[in-house]
Amino acid sequence: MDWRLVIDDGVTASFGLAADEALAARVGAGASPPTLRLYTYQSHCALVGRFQTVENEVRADYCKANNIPINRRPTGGGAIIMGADQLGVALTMPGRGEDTYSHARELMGVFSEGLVRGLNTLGVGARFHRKNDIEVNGKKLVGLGVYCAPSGGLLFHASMLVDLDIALMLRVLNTPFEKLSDKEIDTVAGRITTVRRETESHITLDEIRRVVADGFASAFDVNLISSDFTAEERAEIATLEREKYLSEDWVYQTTAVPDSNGSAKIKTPAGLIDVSVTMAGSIIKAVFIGGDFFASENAVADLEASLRWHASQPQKVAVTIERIFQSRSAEFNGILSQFLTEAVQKAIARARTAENQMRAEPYGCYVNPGGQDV
Amino acid sequence: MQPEKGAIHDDLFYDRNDFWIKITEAALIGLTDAGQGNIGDIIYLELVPVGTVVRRGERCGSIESGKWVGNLLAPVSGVIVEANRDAEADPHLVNADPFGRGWLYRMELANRNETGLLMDSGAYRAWSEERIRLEEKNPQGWID
Repeated sequence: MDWRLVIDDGVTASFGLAADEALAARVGAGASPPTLRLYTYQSHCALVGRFQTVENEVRADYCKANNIPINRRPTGGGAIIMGADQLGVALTMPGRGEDTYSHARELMGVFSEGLVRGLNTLGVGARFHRKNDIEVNGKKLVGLGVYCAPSGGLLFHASMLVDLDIALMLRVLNTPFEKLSDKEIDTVAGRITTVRRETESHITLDEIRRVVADGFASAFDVNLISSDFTAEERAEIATLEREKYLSEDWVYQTTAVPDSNGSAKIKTPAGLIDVSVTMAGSIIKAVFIGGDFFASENAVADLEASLRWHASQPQKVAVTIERIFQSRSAEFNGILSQFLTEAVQKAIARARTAENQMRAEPYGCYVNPGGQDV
Repeated sequence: MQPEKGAIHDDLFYDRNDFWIKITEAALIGLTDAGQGNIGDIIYLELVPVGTVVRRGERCGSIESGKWVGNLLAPVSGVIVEANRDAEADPHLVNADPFGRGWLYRMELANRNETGLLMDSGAYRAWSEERIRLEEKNPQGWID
């Protein structure tokens, strides 16, 4: 089977997002062929998740002062910055007409596999991490999302960190850090990674695009034919861009689900555990685990990632923490899982109590929350 | 209406997007337990405003679970006369009590004959079981 491969660089936020959504709608309706799009945005833009509230996630004043557009993705998840060093990967495919959710779930495994195969050929030990990341030893490298268009078309999207200006990201996205120092940058750098960091090279975007395209061709068993958008597609993209992605009503919409924060500190024989959580209603948006205990940075990053977008019921939290401890017990250096579980559960309980106060302490996709001591 | 969670209720109709529909004077609509379980923990829910006219199969809201974002597609045609704003503010209600407090819409039906296109409980049960069999053949999953 032949799929179309579209490569475009330096697109605006509104065009890039409109193209993804328009293609998903058209592919679902049978008006366009399945398309793999490997593209970059003009440096830089800030993109929030489908239901996030901009003021919670992005420093709008800084963006305005620095001509950084803000927009809203059709896909979910946290806020990100995109630019010349972040590769956008958008695969649009037809759905099954009904029961699209199950179909999307099946295909997501293959979509992840395409990316992982491409990265593996570069020697990057990437693997899929539930629910929506591709990581290297606990550090996030690629964020994933899926959008199902009303036509049944599916958009699988990935943002791959080829490189990242962490200091800029921390200035653009709302973060828990009151000031931006080397320590804060190091903390975030310990939770994420980039293709160039993993390959220890200045690998080019084109080279990465080539291996990613090969990965998809192999995972889906398809031929990729380089092409471009048709005139009809460009017209539809332009309409969607004008009516939706350039509309403040779309970008600045708010959600009925409140954010809330909670934190907890627990003294243990192995040191102090300091946990902060940000919640979206009853779901954990993000967890930050700090303190003065000694543990591998990768293990802590893995634990935090595993609790992101996780249910907050105490038993479910305990099961996930225990699972990570069992697979990485040596890396936690004597910290007992029960103490960490207690701290996380306590922070969640405090966030839920504070929920009605609507005092969001926002965070971004690659940034963990702070929260105030309670 | 507070039926117990987890069951397929004989007094309801169903569609292949895992909506249940209770037909009385108006239609009460929600996601089935299998539907919410398949979607997983719902983070955000967006319901269309009261007064919106929808046709069967058209978008009548959005939903996010993990980073999956999809549309709610109306199981029947009609006018939205009530939307569950409690579920919109606390989508966990849909997961915790899909047949009760997690209902989504009350609709005035445009065409009662459309109920003939829906499944009764027996047909929905058979279809769900077949779907589970198909998924077991392809366990490669993603969202918890």
